[in-house]
Amino acid sequence: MIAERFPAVRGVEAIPFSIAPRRGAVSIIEMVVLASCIIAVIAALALSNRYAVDIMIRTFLWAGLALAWNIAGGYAGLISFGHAAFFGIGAYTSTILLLNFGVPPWFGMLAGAPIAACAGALLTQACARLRGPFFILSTLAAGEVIRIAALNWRSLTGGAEGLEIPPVPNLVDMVFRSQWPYVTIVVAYMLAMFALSAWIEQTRYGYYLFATRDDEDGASAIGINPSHTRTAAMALSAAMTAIGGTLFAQYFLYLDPTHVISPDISFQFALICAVGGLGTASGPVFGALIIVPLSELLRGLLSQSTSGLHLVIYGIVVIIVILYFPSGISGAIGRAVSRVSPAGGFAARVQARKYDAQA
Amino acid sequence: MSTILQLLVSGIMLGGIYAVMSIGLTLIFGVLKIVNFAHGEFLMLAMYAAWAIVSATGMTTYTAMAVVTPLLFCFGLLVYLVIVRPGIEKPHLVVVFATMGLSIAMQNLALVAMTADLRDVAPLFGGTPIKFGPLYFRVELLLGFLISIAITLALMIFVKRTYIGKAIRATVQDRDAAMLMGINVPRLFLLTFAGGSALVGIAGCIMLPLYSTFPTVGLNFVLIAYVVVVLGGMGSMEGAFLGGICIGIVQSLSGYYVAPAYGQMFYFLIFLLVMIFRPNGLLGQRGAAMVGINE
Repeated sequence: MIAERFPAVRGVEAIPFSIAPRRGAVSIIEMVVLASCIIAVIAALALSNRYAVDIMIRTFLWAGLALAWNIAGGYAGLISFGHAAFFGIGAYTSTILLLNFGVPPWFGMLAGAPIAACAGALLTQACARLRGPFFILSTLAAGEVIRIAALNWRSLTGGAEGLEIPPVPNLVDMVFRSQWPYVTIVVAYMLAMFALSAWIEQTRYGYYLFATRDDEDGASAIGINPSHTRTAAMALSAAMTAIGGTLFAQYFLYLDPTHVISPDISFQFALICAVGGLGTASGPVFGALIIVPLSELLRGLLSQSTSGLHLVIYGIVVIIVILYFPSGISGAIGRAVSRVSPAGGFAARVQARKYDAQA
Repeated sequence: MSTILQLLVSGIMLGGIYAVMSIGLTLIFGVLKIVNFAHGEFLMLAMYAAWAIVSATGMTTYTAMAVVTPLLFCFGLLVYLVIVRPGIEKPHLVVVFATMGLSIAMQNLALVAMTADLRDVAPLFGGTPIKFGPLYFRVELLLGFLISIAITLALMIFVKRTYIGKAIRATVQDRDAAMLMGINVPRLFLLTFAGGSALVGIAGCIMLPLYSTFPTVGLNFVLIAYVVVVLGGMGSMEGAFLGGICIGIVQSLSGYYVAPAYGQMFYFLIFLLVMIFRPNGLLGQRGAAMVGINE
C-alpha cells in the first residue's frame, strides 16, 4: 500500500531487471522459443496438408504482430487497444498503392510503416499525460476513429465492401499459389520481430524504456526523457504492426474495415502477449504458439456443432492463465527453469520478474 | 426551430439512457479503480434475460426489471468472487485482461446459446408516439428517461445519506484512509461490483424495447459507456449523467445534420479531445488520469 505512493520504494522493485546480465547471445528461454518454432514448422511439414500449414502461417504472423505490439505494450508499458488501426493502416496503404498505382507490396509496406509510425507518435504525444485505464481507453477510441473513417471513406478504402487483391500469382505482387512462400515470409517477419525485441532488451534504449515504464519520475531524474522514449516505442511498434498488416493483406487477399480494424484484432494482440508473458521477447511467441493453434483447432473440431464455442474456451483459457500465471507462460517457464538450475535460470527468472515489476 | 428542439429533447432522453448504462461502470471504477472490460457483455446478458422473461411470460420489460436486476446483482457477485477478487491486488493489467477474456467467453456463449439472430420485444401501445406540444416521443424512450432520472437521483441520495454511501465516497477519495477508518473495504468492493452490475440490469431492461439484442450488442454500447464515463470523469455519478446527456445530444444532432455513420466518429473525437485537454473529465477527481489507477 505504501509502495503505491512513494516512487523511492517502487524504485527498488525495478532494480533486479535493470542490472540483468545476459548469458551470451541467446538465453535458455529464447532457445526454448526457437526450438518450439522449429518443431511447429517440422510438424506442419510432416503433416503437409493445407490446413496445417495455414494454421502455421497464421501462428507465425500473429506471433510477429504480438511481438510488435509488445514493444509498446510490454516494454514501454503503453497498453494499446488501438493497434488494429496501425495494422489497418499498413494493410490498406500497401493494398491501395498496389491496386491504384501498381506499387509492389514489397515497397508498399515500407510506405505504410512510416504512416503508422507517425500516427502512433501522434497518439502517444496527444495522450502523453494519461496513465492506466485512461490511456487504454484513449487508444481504443483512436482505433475506432480510424475504423469509422475507413468505413466511410469509400473512394479510398472501398468502404464496407472492402478491397480485393486479384489472386494472380506473381512474385512482384507478393501473391503466390503455393503456401510455402508465405511460410517463408511470415517466419522471416516473426524472426525479425523477435531479433528486434531481443536487441531492444539489450540496448541502452531498452533500459530507458524499462526505467520509464517502471518509474517515470525516477527515470526522468536520471536524465531520461520519458516522453521521447515512449513516443519512439509506440512509433516503432506501430510501424512493425503496419508491416504485419501488409503481410496479412497479401495472405488473405481481402480487406474490410470491420474485420481488419476491429477492436477484436487489437484485443487479440494484447491477449497473446498477456498469455505468453508481457514485456519479454519470448512471451508473445509462446502466446501465439498456444493461442492461435488452439483457437484454430477448436474451431475446426467444434465447427460442426456450433460456431463460437471455440472462442468460449479461448476466453476461459485467457482468464485462467491471466489469473494464475500473471507473468504468462514465459514467466512460468522462467520460474520452472530457475527451479531446475538456479544459476542458469537467472536470466529467465529476471525475465519472469519483468511482468511482476510492471505496475 | 422545432426540428432542433425535437432533436435536443430526443438527444437528452437518449443521453439519460446512456447515463444509466454507464453509471454502474463509473461506480465500479471509482471504488475499485478497475475498468470492467466485460461491462458490455453484462448489458448483453441483461437484455437477453429481459427478453427471455418477456417472451416467456408476456409481461413488459419494465416489470421484468424486478427479476433482471437481482439476477445481474448475483451475476456481478459471482464474477467478482471468481475473476475480480483474485486479480485485484495484482497489477491492474490482470483485471483488464481477465475481464477481457470474460467478455470474449460471454459473447460467444451467447452466440452458441442464442445464435446471432436479433431478439426484440413488441413496442408498447403498438409503437404510437406520444405527442407533447410540437414534440413527439417514443413511449419507451420517455419511460427510459424517467427511470434513468429516478435511478440517478436515488443513487445520489443513497451515496450522500446512507452509511454504505459514505463508505463508498470515502473509498473513492482514499482507499487506504478509508480502510484505516474501519471501513470494510473488501466487502465494499463486493457490494459495489454487484451493485454496479445490478444497475446494468436496469439499463438492459430499459434498452431492450429501444434496441434489439444480439451477442455483440455489448461492444457498441460499451464504447459509448466508456466515452460517457470518461467525459463525466471516471468515478463521478453526476458526471456520468452529464456525460450521457452530452453524448446523447451529439449523437442526435450529428445523426440528423451530418450522417448517422459519422455520429460515432464524433463522440470518439470528443472523447479524444477530452482526454487530451481535460483528462479528468467534466466532474472527475483532479489528477486521477495522470497518476493512473491502482499503480
